[in-house]
Formats: sequence, structure tokens, C-alpha cells
Amino acid sequence: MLRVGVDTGGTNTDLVAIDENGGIVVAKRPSTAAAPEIGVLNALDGSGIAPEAVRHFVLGTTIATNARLQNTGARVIYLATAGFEDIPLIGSISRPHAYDLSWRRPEPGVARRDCLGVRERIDYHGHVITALEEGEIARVLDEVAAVLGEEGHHSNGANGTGAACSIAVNFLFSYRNPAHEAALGAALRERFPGLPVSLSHEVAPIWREYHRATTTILAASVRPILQSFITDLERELEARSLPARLAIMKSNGGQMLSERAPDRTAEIFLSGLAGGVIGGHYFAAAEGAENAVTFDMGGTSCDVGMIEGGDYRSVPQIDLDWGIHVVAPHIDFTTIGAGGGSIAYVGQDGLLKVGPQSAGAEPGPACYGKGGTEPTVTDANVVLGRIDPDYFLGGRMPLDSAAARAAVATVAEPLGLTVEEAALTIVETVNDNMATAVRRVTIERGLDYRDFDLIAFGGAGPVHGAELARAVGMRRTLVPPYPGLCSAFGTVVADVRVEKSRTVAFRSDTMALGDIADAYCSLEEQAVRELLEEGFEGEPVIARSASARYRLQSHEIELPVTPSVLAGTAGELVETFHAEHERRFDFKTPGHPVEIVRLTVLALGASAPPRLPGLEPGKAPEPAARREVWFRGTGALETPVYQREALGAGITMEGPAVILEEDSTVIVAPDDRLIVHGSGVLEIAPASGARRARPQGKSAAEDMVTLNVIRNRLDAICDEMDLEALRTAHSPLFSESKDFSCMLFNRDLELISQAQNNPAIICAGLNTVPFVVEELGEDYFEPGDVVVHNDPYRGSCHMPEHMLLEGIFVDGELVGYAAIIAHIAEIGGMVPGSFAVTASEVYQEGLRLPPIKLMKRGEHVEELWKVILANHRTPDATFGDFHAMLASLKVAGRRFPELIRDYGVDTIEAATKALMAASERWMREQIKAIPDGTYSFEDRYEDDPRNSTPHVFRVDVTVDDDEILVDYSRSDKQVDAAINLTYVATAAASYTGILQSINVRDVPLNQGVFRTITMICPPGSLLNVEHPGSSVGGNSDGQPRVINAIWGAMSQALPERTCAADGGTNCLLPMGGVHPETGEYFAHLHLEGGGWGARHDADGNANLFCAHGSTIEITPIEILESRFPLLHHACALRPDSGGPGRNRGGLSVMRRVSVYAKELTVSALSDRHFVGPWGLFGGKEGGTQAFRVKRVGDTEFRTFSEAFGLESPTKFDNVKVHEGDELLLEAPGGGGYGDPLERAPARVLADVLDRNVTRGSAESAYGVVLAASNGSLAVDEAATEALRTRMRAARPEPPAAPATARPSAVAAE
Amino acid sequence: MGHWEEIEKPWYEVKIVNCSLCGRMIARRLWVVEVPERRVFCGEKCAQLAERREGEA
Repeated sequence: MLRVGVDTGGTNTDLVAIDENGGIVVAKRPSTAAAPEIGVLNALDGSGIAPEAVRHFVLGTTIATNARLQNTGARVIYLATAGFEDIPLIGSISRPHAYDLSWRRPEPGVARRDCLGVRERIDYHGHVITALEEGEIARVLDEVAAVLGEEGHHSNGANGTGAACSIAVNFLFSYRNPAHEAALGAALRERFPGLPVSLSHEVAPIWREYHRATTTILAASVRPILQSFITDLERELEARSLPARLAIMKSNGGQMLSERAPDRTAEIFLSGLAGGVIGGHYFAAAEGAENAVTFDMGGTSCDVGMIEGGDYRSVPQIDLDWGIHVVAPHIDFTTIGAGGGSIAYVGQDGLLKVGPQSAGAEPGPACYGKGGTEPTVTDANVVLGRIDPDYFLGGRMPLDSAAARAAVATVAEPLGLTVEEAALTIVETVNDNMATAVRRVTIERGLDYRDFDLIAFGGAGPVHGAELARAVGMRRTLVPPYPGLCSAFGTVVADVRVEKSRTVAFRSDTMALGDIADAYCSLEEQAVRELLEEGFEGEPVIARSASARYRLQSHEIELPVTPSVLAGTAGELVETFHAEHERRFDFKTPGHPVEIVRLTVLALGASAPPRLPGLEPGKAPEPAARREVWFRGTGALETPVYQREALGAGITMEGPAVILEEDSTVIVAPDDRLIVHGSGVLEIAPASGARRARPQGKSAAEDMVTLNVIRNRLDAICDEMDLEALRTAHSPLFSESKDFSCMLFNRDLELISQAQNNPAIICAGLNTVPFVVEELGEDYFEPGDVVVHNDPYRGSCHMPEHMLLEGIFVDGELVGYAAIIAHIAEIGGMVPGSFAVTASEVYQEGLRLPPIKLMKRGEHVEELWKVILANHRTPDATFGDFHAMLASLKVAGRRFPELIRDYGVDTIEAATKALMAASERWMREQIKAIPDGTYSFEDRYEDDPRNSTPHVFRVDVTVDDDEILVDYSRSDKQVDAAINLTYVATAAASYTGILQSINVRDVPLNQGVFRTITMICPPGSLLNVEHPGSSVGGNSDGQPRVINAIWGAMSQALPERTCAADGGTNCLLPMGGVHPETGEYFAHLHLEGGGWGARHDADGNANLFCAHGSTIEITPIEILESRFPLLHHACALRPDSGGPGRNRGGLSVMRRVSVYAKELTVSALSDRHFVGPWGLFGGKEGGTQAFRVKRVGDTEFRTFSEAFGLESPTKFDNVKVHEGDELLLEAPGGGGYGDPLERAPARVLADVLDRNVTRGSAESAYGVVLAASNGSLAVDEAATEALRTRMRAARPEPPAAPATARPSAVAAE
Repeated sequence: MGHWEEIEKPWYEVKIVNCSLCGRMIARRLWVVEVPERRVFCGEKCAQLAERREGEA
């Protein structure tokens, strides 16, 4: 009986077969990308095993991954609830880089023109609101047929090449009620047999419509190519009388039967990569390597995984790119484009680069002799004598060493190197690239890679492993037997795992345990049945879990549900949750309702790990050969070559040496020692056995490794603080919008690290923490004390933002401070949501807290808690959010002392000072590169709640050598409304604006960076409110205006780095009332993104949050509707909202909702209503902002000014709307960049086809005339040229450069 | 020319002082310039900058 595992990579297809005695047969054949099953069959046939003896056949494949990376998946037609077709393009409003304006949002995998609406609607209970009628199904089918007709794929769907169409269906709340999706799916399958249909409730039955969308679109995209592969392979295996049923490796390390795979593509997306980690884990365990990095280097990529404490990590979701979520469990690892096929080239800077482009399997490296001429890593290894051209793949694939040499010569010549020197440089460069990945996976988790072993496998892993480990400073390199087939080996040893989940809606105050038990019985029955169907014959291990959370939380914890729990009472289950929450997060709220939202059953069919035969002891054999191998520093060395099978256990030998085996080559460098273990694993370590000692004290500041480790451990502490708060917070503004930030300070009150969160808050702590500690005095802090503070005149950005600050003590000595600043959604005051824009005084804005102890020596200061909770409208949310913040601080309280104990106070102090100094040097270099001068600009609020008079922000930015002075002295005075900024809010905006104008991606966020920027901000001005002035809106809408003004100023110095204005307003719509279903009071601070400004080289991104909030997320519709009495009718991108320009501004979003509470109190704070965000260099304004209302009985939407007689359409408080009223929110678009008449007509046409620009605007704004041609639109070139000529002639004057003069934004003289 | 002064205030006083040039909040220590009139700054650097700007004006 044989167990067979196959791994199809981009370059090779590997096979491992193991019999019941541990006997192994292996095979490796080139992958065949066009028909991947052929590579598998070649490996099977080449292995010589008898197909009829195969009882288990498991396939791991990267075919889905490669299809996404290479954009070779199917064209996806996306069907969604009508009005919500744009959800995949709207995405989330966050962005990955706080200070990089050049970032482009990744493509979602579907074109807007292929996003079609379906009239149906289900609410958050799962109740049908709008039935999916037969007529609507028929209409949608016809619409799909029309799209398919365009592509020439009428009804046959997948054509076997992957270049087909595929359908993704994602209806709102389908995870609660899948009936509509199922009905449409059935109709689609009947009308278009063979056309793959992916339904979101099957692919990813989770809440959050955008996450479901991205996962379903990806699944749909790769489904045809995967289905074709599986079908063809199954047919061929059957033809060979192979009795085993084909199983596919899952991303989580389990496996599933192949017939299920097409419906569950998301679960096998990283199938081919999981096997490597599992295989590496097997051999790490064999050699007692508790902490190891798995290093799988193949032909096209290098996959790096982590084994910590003897186990591999698992995560519930992977993001293939920013915002491209695949929600399915998978093993945690990192992939980079570095492999044997990686192409070397000389960059524009004259330096050698390697990858990520790969020669792949076809044509492959030049030495393959298949027509490749570009030099690759494999070619370099051939030139260096490290790969034997006569023994590649055991001699079955002779390599052309002359071709390798010729290819490497193409880079050697321009570099002025010999061919061998160039080859060494190629190898060292790719090693450097991979070393970065290895460092990242360890250091980012706060681990020191010097405490880790490297498990090197893959065809190229053992060639590079020891040199890489030496360069990084790791302990040992371990090379498993058959290293080139380790991923295939991993598929053989993987367990069978079936997970079944069900979304439920149990609340602790109403649920019955019997209902839960019944649900588990049903799930367990399904899971076990599938497990047996997948060929498992033993006794499955069943594990039940429940996803539970406190009401109002957005993130759940997995609660093990044992039989004894089910035998108890519902109350006991709830108590289990409270206890688990306290264990994980250090707090519980026993009186708070608990929700159970998902039940899961895991049926595990554990396979007994194969017992591989060990090696017999042996003595060092005579070399099979000797040949010249090149090493850095020694040149060519006569090097002994051994066959691996000749090496017995216990052999030790000094390098240099080459160990040959059929699937790989092991290189032992001159200073390394090789040890052969009885398990068959080869160990390579520095011959001296010496590792660098960890530097201590001041010398740490000079040791780059130590500096990097400490820096990343500090960052990791802040990141963990961040995660802790996120997972336990109670209000969506906190848990979904991520409006908070975590930071660490040293005892000298210098910022030493912070989580890369919201820039507005990131930069605030710089001033807030020092002020509070200085005012209170260091002696005020004792261990366990936590100070709360939101006083706007003492360093709070505005009242809702509360800082919790705790001293960090080690052995009773204060060593630093941890702080978290977060936006508390409701703090009392004159309006629900505490955003009272009409407030004239701070006293109207909510409860003001000067710095005061919230916790004393770890105990609640109950008197203060009572005051706070009595003054907030939603005390439950406050209580939960404060405890989330406290949980975050506790992380710092544990982790920071651990770091100090590991290195010592002196080392940490020296290292953090050195890091700050390095950051300061870096920042000064950035500023030096900006031309000296004073750059001025203006932006403005259009009005305030009581007057239509604008209020002007005037900024003068002076660049003087390596320092910047930002001066707001000419700005307007403080306003009698809550739109002023506090000093700290202005400081945070200034830092943000400057860093964004410099436009860098990786900013070291510590004190050093900010020492170079000075600000002048007179008290009593719009930008530095004085007591008792109000300020809640300054942080939300004033900050983006300050940042925009700085962009405008800096665009004069750095025109290719900054961009035109973004939406520049949060579009805040605070609301509150009594929920008609629960009778409970609720408050919600609604916000929106906006279009982003275009740049010199690109259109603006659609729908991102303002510049001061990179991590702010929009609350998903499904969460909003589950919490608040709102029903959405549409959420879509607004055509023409992007400012016209050579590069167009980004589009913004409109949202239409109706109210079903009896009464809803609404306030508003926004701007850009009369004039849209400004353009640059001839670009036009983006679309304007609007809040509109259609009251019951009205026939059309009106502004709130019109409907309620208010002075300002965007700044008002406490307006009552009622059941049945509808609200329409329109966010502003981004400004354009450059003359719109210079925009390529083809780009305008594409915009029209994608509904980004209307046909009318194509003519009026861009001068592009479109005409019908063969049933579709085309550019009328002659008419366009004529129109553009007329439009240019009609202009009063050509656009100035820079043309920043706009009514809303005036470049100062 | 100037000198440092500690801010003395009772516990119940919640008002704060700002730097007369840059506007920053001052928690404990003031840099005081008495000539030509009493002005408070957050530090000597701001006092010097203020003097330079006034000179330029």
C-alpha cells in the first residue's frame, strides 16, 4: 500500500511515495504550465510505482496562486445585490502606508463594467425584504448572456485553458440566508452549464460583505483553471487504474477530496505552499529543532515559514495584496520572488538586481537550453561549479554550461566583472533578498533569528541554505532527505481535516443550550461523513468550538466546547466565555450579554507519521569526484564531491564539499562543517562552532543586528498592543475604524516606538504624553496606575480621543511609559455621538477629564468610573472600550519589561538613543533634498454652523537646509463653533503633511524624525483653540485641511511627489436613538472616505479616508445594519466625482439609507459642499460633498439646509429624522492633476465603459467624443480633435503652473 | 536673555499656559523674557526664534 504526495510548483512537479515500511520512492519532472496534469503523470510514470498500489494520492498545487499572481485567471462577472455592485471596487477606506501618496490600490480582480446588480434583499435577521423574482432571474441571466456573448463564451463556460468567464455571486447577508444566492446559482448553472458559479455563502460564509466579495471573486477567478486541472488529472489517473481518490492539500495543512475542491477554491489557494512547511516541520521535529525557519527555495519563489515552540503557525485569513482578502485558514508564511529561475539584470542605477521576474519552467534558465538567454540564479550556480551540469535531476536533464556562461556574461560585461565574479554577485544578491525575508518573519514577531535553525529544502534551498544562514547568523542549517521533494513529502504526512461551521445568532440572555447542542450534532454528522468519504478509516478526533464575543464587539474568540460544557447549562457556557475572555485579555464584563455567532466542528483524521528508515552508521567515503567550485574570498577551490546516499550516520567532514543527490545539491562552504545525522538529515554549521555573542551595553548601539532586533521588538510590542485593543473593543469606531494608536516612551519622555496606525493620533502622542507626565510629575505614577485624559487644552486632539497612560516598571523602577489614544464613540455633551459642531464652548462637547487616575495599583478608581459612565450616553460601550485600552496597556506591561530583562536597561537605552539618532539623520537627509525656500498656500472651511463666512488656514512652510518651519501665524482667528483645532491636532497634521509631501514609505516613527520640524501656531487662532473654545470638529475636518494646505505649499517644491487635494472631509454624521428591536440606546459616528487627488503619474485612488487617517476603516454594511436601525438601498461609486485632469481624481462614494427607528437624532460635520477639492497644474476640482434627506412625503432629496431651514448644509446638530425618512450621503471626489484635454482619449473611453465618467462629461470636461461602433462605444478621433481645439481656443488663458488658484484653495502670493 | 520659572499653581487650578510664540502647552517650566516686556516661552529656542522674527520684521 502506497501513500503518494505530489507537489506541482511553477518549475517542477515532485512526487514522493511511501509504503507501510517507510520505504520511499521519489520522482521529479518539469512542470507543464499549459497542462499541469501532464507533469504529474510524468512524475507518476517516472517513479516506477504501480498505480494500483496507491491508496492515498494527495496533490499540493500552486496553480491557483500562480493564476492570481500572473493574472491568468478567468474574467469574473460579479453579481451582487442591486445598488451594491461596486462593493469590490469601493473596498475599504484604509491604506497601507500612512505617508506614501504614490500608493495605488490593487485591482480587485473584477472590472466595474462586469459588476451587475440583482434586485433582491435580505436583512440582517435573514428575512427577505425584496424577493428574488423569477422575472428578475430571467433578466439577470440575459444580462450575463450578453456579457458572455461579448467574450464569445456563450454557454460553454470554461474552455479548459483558464481563459474563460466565471461567475461570482455575493448578496448581502447571504451568510444568514443563502436562499437567493442558491436560487440564482441554480438558474445560472441550468442556463449556462459548464460555466463555473461561485456563491459567497458557500465560498466564505462570513459576515463582512467586502471580505466575502474578495474571497468569492478570487475563488471564481481561479476556479476554471483548477477545475480543468483536476478533471484532466482524475481522468488520467483513472485510466491508469489508480484506486485512490484524488485529494487536494488545503492551505491549512489538511486535505480534501478533489471533487470538493472547485467549490472550495479559497481553502486550497495556498495548497502548494502548505506542504513545504509541514514537511519542514516533520524534519525539524526529527532533529529537535523547536525554533526553526523553513526555507523552501524552488525555481520561481522562496517560501519562508516559522516553527516556534515545535509547532507551525496558522492564521484565519491571508491578504494576497492590500485589501485582497482570502478568508480561509492557512499556514502562516511569507513568499518572495527569489528562486533558481530568478533573472539577474543591471538596473538603471548600474547595480545588479535579481528577481522577482523569473524565467519559470519555460524557457527556464539559459542552461536549460530551451531558448532562455537571460542570466538566472541557476545559471550563476552552474558557472560557479555549484550545480553539476551533468547531474541535474540525476543526470536526466543535462545543462548547457556554455549557455549559462554566455548568459551571465551579459551582466558581467556592463558591471566590469569576470563571469565568475558576476555569478558570485548574483548568488550573493539573491541571498541578500532571501535573508531579508528570513529576518522579517522572525524580527517582525520580535524573535531573534540567531536563536533559530534553518530548514533548507526545495530544489535550490540546499544550494543556498548554509550560506544564507551564515549571512544571517542563524544557528544551524538542516537539510532533510530528498530536500527537493520536501513539499511533496509534506502532502503525504498531512492529516485529513474537515471543518464545518454554521453562523448562528445566540444571545446569552435568550439562548437555549439545547439549540446549540442540536446544531453541533448536525455539524458533527456532516464533518464525520465527509471525513469518511475522504478515505479516513480510523476514529476521528472531534473538536467543537464556538465563536463568541461580548455584544458590541466585532471580533470573536474561539471557545472550546467540550462534551461536559454541552452537558451543563447555557449559563455555564457563558461563564466559560467570561473566564476565557479574562484569561486572554485580562478582563471580563460579567453583566454584559454574550453573543455566539458561529459554531464549528473540526473532524481530524490524524495520519500516523511515517517512520522513515534511519541511516546506518558509516565512515567518510572517498569523494566520487573533485571539481572546481568558486567561493567568495577563495576563488576556485578543488572541492570533493560526494553522493548523498554514500554518507552514513555519524560522519563529520569539513568544507568545502558538494553533496549530490538527484533532486538537489548541498553546498558546504570552506569554513563550514557537515554532520550526517541518523535521521538522514544533514547539519551544516560554522566549523568553529562560535556564534557572535549578543552585544551588551553601549556596544549594542553599534551592532546593527541588535539594533534591528530591538527596534522590531519595540514595534512588535506596539503592534501587539494594537491587536489586543482591536480584538476587545466594543464600538465599531474602535474595532472597525481603528481610530486609535499605541505607543511607547522612554523615561526621558521620548517616543521610542508606535504602532503604524492613524497618523493623526500617531503624532499627537509626541506632545500629549510628555505634557501629562511633566504636569503630574514622575512620582505620580506607581505600578498598576493608569491615567486617563482627554483635555483639549492639555494635549488631546479633541475631546472624544482619550489617552490612557501607564508607567512601565521593572523591579520597581520606572523605565518608560505605554500609552494608547483612542476615539471613544460617545462621551456625552449636547448631541448623541458627541460631535456637536454648533458647540461654542468645551462644556457642550462632553465630559472633560484632565489627567487623572482611572486605575490605582491595578484597581478601578470606582468614583471616577461612575462619573464617566454616568455622563456617557452608551456606558456599556465606554466600559468595554476602556477595558480594551487597559488590555492593550497590559501587553506593554508584560512585553516591555521582558525586552529589558533580555537585554538590560543600559542596552535598551543605548539602542533606543541610537535608533532615534539614526532616524533624525535620515529625516535631515530627506529635508536637505528639498530646495530651500518659503512655500505658502491657503485652504479653508467654507462656512460654520452660524455663518456662511469662510475661515482660512494659511501656511508658510520654510525649508532651511535640514530643518522645516511650519508657520500658521497668518491664519484666521478662533471660531465660535467646534471647528477649531487644538495645538496637538495641528501639530499632528503638520507632521503628517510634511512626511506625506516628502512621500516616503518606511518612516521610522520615533522622536528623532520629529526633531527636525518646528511649528508656530498662535493660541487663539483657528489652529490653536484657547479655553473655553470648542474643538471637536477640528480634529476631523480641520486636520485634513491643514494637511491639504501643506501639500499645496510643498507641491511648489516637490511637484512630482505631492498630489491634488483629496476629499478632505470625514463626512461625519453622528447619530443616535433608541433601537426599535432592542429598546436599547445606541450611538454611531458615521464617516465616509473620499476620492484621492491625482498625481503627476497616476489617477487618484477611489474612496480612501482623509490623509490623516490611514488605518480608518469603513464599517461594513452588514455590521452597520446588525447594530443600528438603518437599511441601505445603495452604496456605490459616483460617476464624475473624480476631478478631471490629465490624471483624474479618485471617485467617491454615495450611500442611500432609510431609517426604521421611530426617531433618529442626526448631526453633521463636513465641508467641500460648495467647491470640490482643488486640482493641481490645470486639474479640476473633484465632486462636491452633500448630505441630503428625503422625508416621508417628499418626492426628492434636499439638503438639510433646505429641508430644515439650517444655515449650513454640512454643519448642524440635533436634527430629528423619523421612520421612513431616507438619507443620501455623497462624499467628495479627488482633485485632478494636469490639463484634462491632455488625457488620452482611450483612457476617457475606458472610464465611460466603467461608469467612472459619464458620456456627457467625456465631452464637456475632456473634449472626447464617443460614438457607437459595431455595437460598442469608440473614440471619434476626428471629432475629439476638433472639439479639443475649440475648447482650448475658448479658454481665457492657459493653465498656470502651478495652477492652484481655486476658490477653495488659493496659492498665496 | 531669559530665565526658567516653575509654574506654581494650586491643585484646583486647571488652566494652562501656552508658549507665546509657538503656542505649545507648558506643563511645569516657563522660559521667561522680561525685556521689553514679560513674555513666556516653552524654551530658549522659541525665545530666540521670536527675537529673530521680530528683528526681521
